Amino acid sequence: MSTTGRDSRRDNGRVGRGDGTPVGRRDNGRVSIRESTRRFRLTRLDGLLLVVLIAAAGWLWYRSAIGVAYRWDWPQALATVFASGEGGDTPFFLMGIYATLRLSVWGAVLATILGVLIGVGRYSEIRALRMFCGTYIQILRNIPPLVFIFIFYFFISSQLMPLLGLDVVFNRPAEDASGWQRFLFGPPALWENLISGVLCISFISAAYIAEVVRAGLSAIPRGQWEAGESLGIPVLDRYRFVILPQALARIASPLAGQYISLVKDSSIVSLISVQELTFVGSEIANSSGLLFEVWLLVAFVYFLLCLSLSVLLRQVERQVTRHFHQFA
Amino acid sequence: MSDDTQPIIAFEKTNKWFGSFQVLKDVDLSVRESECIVVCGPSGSGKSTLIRCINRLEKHDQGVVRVDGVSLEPGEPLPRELRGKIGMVFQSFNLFPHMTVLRNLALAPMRNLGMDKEKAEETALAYLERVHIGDQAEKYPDQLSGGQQQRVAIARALCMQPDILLFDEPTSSLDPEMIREVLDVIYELTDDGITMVCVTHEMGFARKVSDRVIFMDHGEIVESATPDEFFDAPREERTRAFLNQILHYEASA
Amino acid sequence: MIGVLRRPWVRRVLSNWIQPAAIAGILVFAVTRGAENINYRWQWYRVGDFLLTSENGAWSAGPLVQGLFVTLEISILSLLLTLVIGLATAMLRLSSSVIGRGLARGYLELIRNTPLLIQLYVMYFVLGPILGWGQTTTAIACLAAFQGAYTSEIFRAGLRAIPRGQVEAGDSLGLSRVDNYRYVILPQVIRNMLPPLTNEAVSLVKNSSIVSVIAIFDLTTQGRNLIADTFLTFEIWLTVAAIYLVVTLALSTAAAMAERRKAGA
Ligand SMILES: Nc1ncnc2c1ncn2[C@@H]1O[C@H](COP(=O)(O)OP(=O)(O)OP(=O)(O)O)[C@@H](O)[C@H]1O
Ligand SMILES: [Mg+2]
Repeated sequence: MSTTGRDSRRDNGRVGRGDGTPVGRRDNGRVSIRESTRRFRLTRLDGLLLVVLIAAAGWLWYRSAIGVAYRWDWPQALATVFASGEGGDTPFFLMGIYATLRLSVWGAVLATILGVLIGVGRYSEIRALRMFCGTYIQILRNIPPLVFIFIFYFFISSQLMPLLGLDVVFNRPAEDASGWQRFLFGPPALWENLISGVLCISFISAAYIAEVVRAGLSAIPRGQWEAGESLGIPVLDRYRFVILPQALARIASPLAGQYISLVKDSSIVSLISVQELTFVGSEIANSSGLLFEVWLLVAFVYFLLCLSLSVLLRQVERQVTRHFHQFA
Repeated sequence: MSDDTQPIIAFEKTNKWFGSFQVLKDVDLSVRESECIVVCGPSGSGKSTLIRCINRLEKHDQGVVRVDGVSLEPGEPLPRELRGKIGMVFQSFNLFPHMTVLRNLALAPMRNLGMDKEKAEETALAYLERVHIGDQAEKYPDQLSGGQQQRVAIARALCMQPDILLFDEPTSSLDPEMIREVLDVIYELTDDGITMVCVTHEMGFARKVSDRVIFMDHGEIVESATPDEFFDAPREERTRAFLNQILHYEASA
Repeated sequence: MIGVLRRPWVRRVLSNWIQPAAIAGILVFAVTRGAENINYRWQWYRVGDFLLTSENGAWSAGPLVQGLFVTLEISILSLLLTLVIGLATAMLRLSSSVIGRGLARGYLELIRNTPLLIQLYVMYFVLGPILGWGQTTTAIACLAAFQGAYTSEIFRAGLRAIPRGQVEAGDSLGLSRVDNYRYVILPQVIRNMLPPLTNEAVSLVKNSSIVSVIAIFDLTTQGRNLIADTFLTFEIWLTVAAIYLVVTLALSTAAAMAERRKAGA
């Protein structure tokens, strides 16, 4: 059938990575809507959309210029945002960006560790552990992150910090911090602040990562476990050499998605006063009154962060999966 | 070991349930060292469960299972000293798809026996030669035919120098033309004096290779006899019915 | 000693009851103990009033239940809008129009690569004033714009997965293109998409809590206000979390049942 051939070729050409469809999957026997719409709506739809776009842009311009009479002042906004703090410190805005980066990196590290442990815990021999991990995943994925953060923040600040003795560590005199500590964790005055944020984010993200890990593990045929067991390979080695490499190849892509989500979710810890990009943004926006410019700028920075992260992760993913031999 | 007095595998009044469904009913079985046993029976009769209780991929609920002189309690996992001593060959091969054939074979000796890489690969190559695929060492499992994959799986189990080798329908997922090469390899192993328990429906093979044939139905061992007795003069009605079915099918196929 | 633990019935009792009970026990212990450490005085009995209040024998919704209604209202309205946006985006992406595909792509990238909170701020502080939107409109538009991006993937997958044979069967029967879609294609597509769409609804309910930052009196805001008034921090947050959990789990369960029904059918 010639039409089938044409369809599948077209599909293959367009099925790409970000599309959520596996690369190279053949859609034989499936029809795509594109095929039907392509024929008769080509120019009309384009024209219509163009008109709508122009109208919308015009309307927005009209409303902002005449309706609310907002006076855009980008030079002033940029000057405010990049103004050094008193005494030639790093600009506040940049510190916010750095904080978001630190938050994301440490959050990702902790979330990965926790997530893998919890995901693997779903497969534990011990029923209690299995249940605990399952409950953790269920609850964290089903309550709003915001609510979790409010509960957890109250819990951390009143319980966890004193319990772990971290309050003592963080209340050391600032001069003790060496250069690399400042680089990795930021200004010592904000360490406690940072760690609250990291804990919150990673506890949430861990639940999602655990689910990814669980799904990856469950996709590995039972026979692989049994073969490892019957050969007498010790449990940890079984994970390391048999299961993990196979799971990793399946997990890599959804995991990358989780890391991007983590960067995005990190913005909500601004609501518990963690001084990251969103927090800094709202401070600057409120103090300068340049609401439009500052918020658009903040959005733009996040956009750049996430976009470059996804490009980076795609490279890493390619590297990781390249080392695994994969036939269909 | 004095093989007359001490069986290498023993089931005594062994019971097992999956939920309320009883898969093994008062199973009594003893296997002497170097014996080759074939287990047959209709689908769902508990053959796989029986042999998986030996290497503890399944755990029995009642009765005694003794392996290599170790008594296994109900629910007990495989004790450390038996790890790697009971090899298994699966119906679906279960080779590790992300490793070369050589790595597949060398992994367990390195990790379990602490062999160094050179030694393990040397051993691996020797066993690959024994199953006649020494030239495939650097390939990945999916690049091999089913028969070759199953022979790799056998070699992989042998690399641990097990006392017992279990086969769970090793030829059931093979194309007909590959069954022979795998059965031949298994046949060659009988010279080594390794104890084998093999679930299979290959009756010709059972007759030629086994020391004893066991027939299971509904979780019970219905008949246990030498191949000649089993095929020429089965005592039980159920066995006869089963053989009729199978042999009739083979004749017509 | 160990032998006893291996007896089947002992193991069954252990695994069925004692372990879960132990988990619950440890959790309760940790929370109460933690609360004791800061001299927290539990006052669960006061929570009832925040759910339902009775005045002169007439029951009325307490602040938390009122908040829940607002949350549900916002969720439902934005779900409807989400479906429209999601479907439109999916169709644009599958369309032959270059501008349409570009538009959809740009929208998706924009939404996927910025935090929801920032989207809300931009809508509230920038777009809202320009368009003259109130808080509720902003909230609904923001949630729908966000969720629509993810829902469009579901529509896209659904639209792409129409069995070719069905289209051909309809065509060969002489159904018009519209009738073919209406009677043959869409019913199948909707059936397939119902479970994943329910998951989108779950996300929406969850995400809706973020509108509390623009002073909408949803469940989260009500919780925050009550805490500011009463200092019953743990009781109220745990109650709020439980309410969200009940709603989202009920929706997930419905989705799972729908899925099972589909598989069974
Ligand atoms: N994990 C399990 N949970 C529940 N029931 C099971 C499980 N494994 C096996 N069974 C059931 O136990 C019975 C025996 O299974 P078993 O695999 O031992 O049979 P078999 O003789 O090997 O059959 P076949 O020839 O099909 O492989 C079957 O009815 C099967 O459905
Ligand atoms: Mg079987």
